[in-house]
Amino acid sequence: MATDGGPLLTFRLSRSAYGLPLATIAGVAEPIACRPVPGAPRAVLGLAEWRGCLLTVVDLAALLHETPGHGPATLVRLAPPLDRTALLVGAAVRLEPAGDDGVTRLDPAAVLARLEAEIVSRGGETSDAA
Amino acid sequence: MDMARYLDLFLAESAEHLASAEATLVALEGAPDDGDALRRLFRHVHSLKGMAATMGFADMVGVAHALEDLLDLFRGCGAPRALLAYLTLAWEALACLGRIVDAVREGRPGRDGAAAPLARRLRETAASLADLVASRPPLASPAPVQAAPLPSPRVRIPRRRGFRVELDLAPDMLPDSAGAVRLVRALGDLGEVVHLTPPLPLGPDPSAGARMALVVLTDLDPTDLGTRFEALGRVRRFTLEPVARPAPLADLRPTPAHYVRVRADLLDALMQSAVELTLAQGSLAASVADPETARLAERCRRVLAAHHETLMELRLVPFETVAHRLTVGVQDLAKRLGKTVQFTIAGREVRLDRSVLDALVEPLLHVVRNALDHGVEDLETRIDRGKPGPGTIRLTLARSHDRVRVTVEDDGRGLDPEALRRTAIARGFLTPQEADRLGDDEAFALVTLPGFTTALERTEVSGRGVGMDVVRDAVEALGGRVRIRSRLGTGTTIEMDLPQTLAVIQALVVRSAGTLYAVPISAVDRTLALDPARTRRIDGRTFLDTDRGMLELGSLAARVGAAHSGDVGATAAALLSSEPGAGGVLVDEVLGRREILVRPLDAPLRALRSFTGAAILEDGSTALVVDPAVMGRMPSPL
Amino acid sequence: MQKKLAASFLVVALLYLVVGAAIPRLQPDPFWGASLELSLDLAIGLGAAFLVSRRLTRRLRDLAAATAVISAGDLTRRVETRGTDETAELARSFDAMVASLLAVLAEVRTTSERVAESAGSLSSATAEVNAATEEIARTAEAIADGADEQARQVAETTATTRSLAESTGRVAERSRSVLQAASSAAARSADGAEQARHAASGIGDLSTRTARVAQSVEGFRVRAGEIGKIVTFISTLSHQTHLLAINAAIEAVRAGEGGRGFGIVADEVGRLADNVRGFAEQISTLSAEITQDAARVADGIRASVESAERVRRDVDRSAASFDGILEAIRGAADRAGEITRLTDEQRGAADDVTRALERIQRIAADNAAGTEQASDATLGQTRSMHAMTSRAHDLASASDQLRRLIATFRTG
Repeated sequence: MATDGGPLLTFRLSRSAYGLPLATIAGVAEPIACRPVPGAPRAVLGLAEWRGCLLTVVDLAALLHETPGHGPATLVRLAPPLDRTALLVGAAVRLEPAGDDGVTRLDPAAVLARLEAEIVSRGGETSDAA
Repeated sequence: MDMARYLDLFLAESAEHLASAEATLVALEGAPDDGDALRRLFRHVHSLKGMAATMGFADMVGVAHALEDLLDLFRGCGAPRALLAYLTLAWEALACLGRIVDAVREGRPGRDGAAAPLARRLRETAASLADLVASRPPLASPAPVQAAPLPSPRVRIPRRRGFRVELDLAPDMLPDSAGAVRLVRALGDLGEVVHLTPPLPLGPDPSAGARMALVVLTDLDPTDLGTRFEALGRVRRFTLEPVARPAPLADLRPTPAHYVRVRADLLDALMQSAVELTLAQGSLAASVADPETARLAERCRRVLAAHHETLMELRLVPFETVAHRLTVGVQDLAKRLGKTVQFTIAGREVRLDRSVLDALVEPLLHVVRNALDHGVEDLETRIDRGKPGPGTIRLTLARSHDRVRVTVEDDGRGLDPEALRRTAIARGFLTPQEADRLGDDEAFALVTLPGFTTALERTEVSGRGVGMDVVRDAVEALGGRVRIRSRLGTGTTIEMDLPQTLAVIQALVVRSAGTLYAVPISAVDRTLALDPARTRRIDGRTFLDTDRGMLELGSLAARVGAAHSGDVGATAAALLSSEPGAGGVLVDEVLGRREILVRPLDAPLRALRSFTGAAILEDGSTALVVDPAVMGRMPSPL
Repeated sequence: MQKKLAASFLVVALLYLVVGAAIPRLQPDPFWGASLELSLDLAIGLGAAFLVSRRLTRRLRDLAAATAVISAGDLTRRVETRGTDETAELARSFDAMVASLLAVLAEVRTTSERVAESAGSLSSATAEVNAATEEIARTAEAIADGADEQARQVAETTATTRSLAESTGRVAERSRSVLQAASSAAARSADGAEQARHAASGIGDLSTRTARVAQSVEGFRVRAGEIGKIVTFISTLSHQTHLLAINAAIEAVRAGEGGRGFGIVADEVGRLADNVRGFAEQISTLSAEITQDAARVADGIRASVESAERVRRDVDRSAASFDGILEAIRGAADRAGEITRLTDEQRGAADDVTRALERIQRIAADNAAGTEQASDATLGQTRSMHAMTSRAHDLASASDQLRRLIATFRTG
């Protein structure tokens, strides 16, 4: 999961602090309204329209089996090739030149690949709601 | 004289001519060799001049006249492509004419401050070009549309010469684009700068400004020019090259192709921002109360609609781009088979969505080669049958609305419906009774069944159609249909009806269990209001009595894996699958038919099988695009 | 009796016929049959004769027994009178005779009892007259004594009445002074009520002013709330700026070396946004405190307005009770006046009583003389009454003797 050094977007969820490498991020924004997608895992909040783009919004806290931390939630848009996916971070975010030892570096691609594998393993059509 | 009446006439006609002139100029940008377009442009400008003269708008007459002269010069020398270098000037002139017409419409005097200098610049340019034109040898344009008469003698030719100048700029003035503007102004003192690379204003990108290239028309001789350049102080190094010959002039625009290659992802991005603009405009219009602003918003909407359409067009690629591949493929095979064939393509200009075209090439190649391989007989047979020696294969494209019909016709041996029926029975596809009931067209359709053509291949009547199942799959995957007509001994026609674009589809927007879905129209045979009298519930499963028999229905939400909503509401409707034998789905409400731009789902949702994508509706909400397979899918056991 | 006899005869004859007809069938032998028939006929004849004679003698014996009892004096005994034969006829005549005897005896007994009763009552009446006469004599003496006593008591009463009249005069005197005191108290109460009303209107003014202050405090609180809103807006803006700064930093990272300077600026902007947010939070806290304080002040003022209102109501009530006191005092004065008038009347009445008593004294003396004459007449009357009493005793003993004689008959 580790990527090379460099500035991080850090935030603190209920259990521990995380950092997203700035290179994997296209931008941050305030949370937007999502429409849920039937059959998607619980961590997928749904689809949203963002400046004419269709974004898949994923709840990062749910994905990491965490609960949100303090501060206003932030929508983190990912950089290409994941630029049509956004992570909802349930905590205030800040920039740090380099991660401290206590910060877990996240690789969005790896995190999302795990989620996708989860969908595939369930045959791509079952749902949590059923 | 009823001036007011004439004024109205003037306004209406001049607006029309201006619009047409602009459209023609756009066309010329794309196809500079189009002599017709140039002539049309000339006529519009000429008409504008006449109307302005009648109404006594001197500024307008001046500019129109000067532009007319310049255009006449290109028209006369038969090298409209050279106009490309002067497009900016032509645009400026049209803009100036437009400003004057607007002023008149708003009751202001029909004058424009920029008109006189502009007219002068136009005249000067025309004069200097006439000089060049006079000294050029006959044009060696690839396909001159028009015979090139000699330049009009009306233009007075001053003693000016053109120089192509390349400048290396001193780095200390960078990235200050204002400095560059000052530099170009200073160059303007030397004479007329007709072409500048990069164009002004210089972008914020500093590396682009380090070199400049321009063509300058001047009375000065090269030595004088050199001293003047040195005097500018900001120029580190320069080269001077006379452009008295016409060839370099033509090279000023190094992309003589009819089409501009554009990166597909840029187009996608452009499309996306256009959609965003449309959405933003929608919410703007909804929040406007002031009638004046509302009118402006409406104008924006119309412009955006046109813009959107243009963008859709931009995604379209002319069939011509793949025509060569097909021709080569056919001729290669003909050589190998020792047959002679006349392969023609009509409707090369018909344009299809890039993705449709890409997906179509291979199946089409297959069909054409089939026609040659299995359809067209060998020479002796053809002569025996009284047919001309070389076979004929005609590929025709025709566009109607948003669909394109591709027809492949041959004059080969044709298909024998009887033989097809026999084979179908022999291979167990049909019972003899079923085969008897089969019409000829339906019999021809047999060749598109998987496994059928392989069976045919082993028989004497191989006909054609090997791999037609693959062709059919590909066409249907694009949302198209395949139809086969044939006449034994005379030839076969294969028709493929395809959507022009893939990205935009017609869909029914429906609601099921509170969520919006878009069901592709092509997947729906029809919609029915849910009539309780014709609905049966057996073991918790719902059946609908239709003229297609009892069909099983399931809630759309349940089929795509959402929690089952239970009872459906009063507005409930059933959507019957267009797949024969398949059932249909129940929805709570049909919101209507929409043209939607399908966006693929991204990681991680692309793994979901129920949806092929999603679309943003006009109000900014999103609808999931349902995979047609869901329509016929059996409801999952609850 | 004849009918019964005839019936018996018929029954016997019928039985003979039955026996005569039945025997030959039961006993075919003629000898045994004739013997059996004869013995049966004999038995039937004897049985019938016995039954008839027994019935006749029993009735006559009953009658003789009854006659013996009645002659012994018991007239309550009855004889059997049922039947239609001659014996029943005899019994009925005997019974009628006893009933007549019983009626005569009852008449005699009633008469003798009535005589004894009259003699008793005559003797008790004379005894009563005696007693009454003695009583009259005793009463006449008592009246004589009572008249004396009465004269003495009237004299006493007269004296008392006189002293009553005197004390009534004193009461009237005092009532007058009460009347005076009451009117001065009424005047003072009216003053008090007036002052209470003044106080009430003063308090009313105060509470109006307080309410106005409360209003302006409320306005202040609303404005403090608006400050809060603005601060929230500033916070939102600074949050957005923060996000923008992050976006700028991301762009700077993307731009590489060239973006370094830009990144620094973005950092600065971000820090600034953070500072603004910090300040905004402080202001937000302050404004929340102000809002709270203002709310508390408003609450205090509301409480004081309420208590002023309470005081005003109390004062109003006390003014009202002053009015009540005034009313009561006026009532008391009225009643004192009434008492004065009544005591005046009373004194007049006492004088009248005294005069009447003197008249009574005179009449009582006349009465005493009359009573002595009546006492003499009574003594003569007592003597004749004693003679009548002894005659009544004689009569009573004669009727007693008759009553004992009659009692020898049993009559019920």
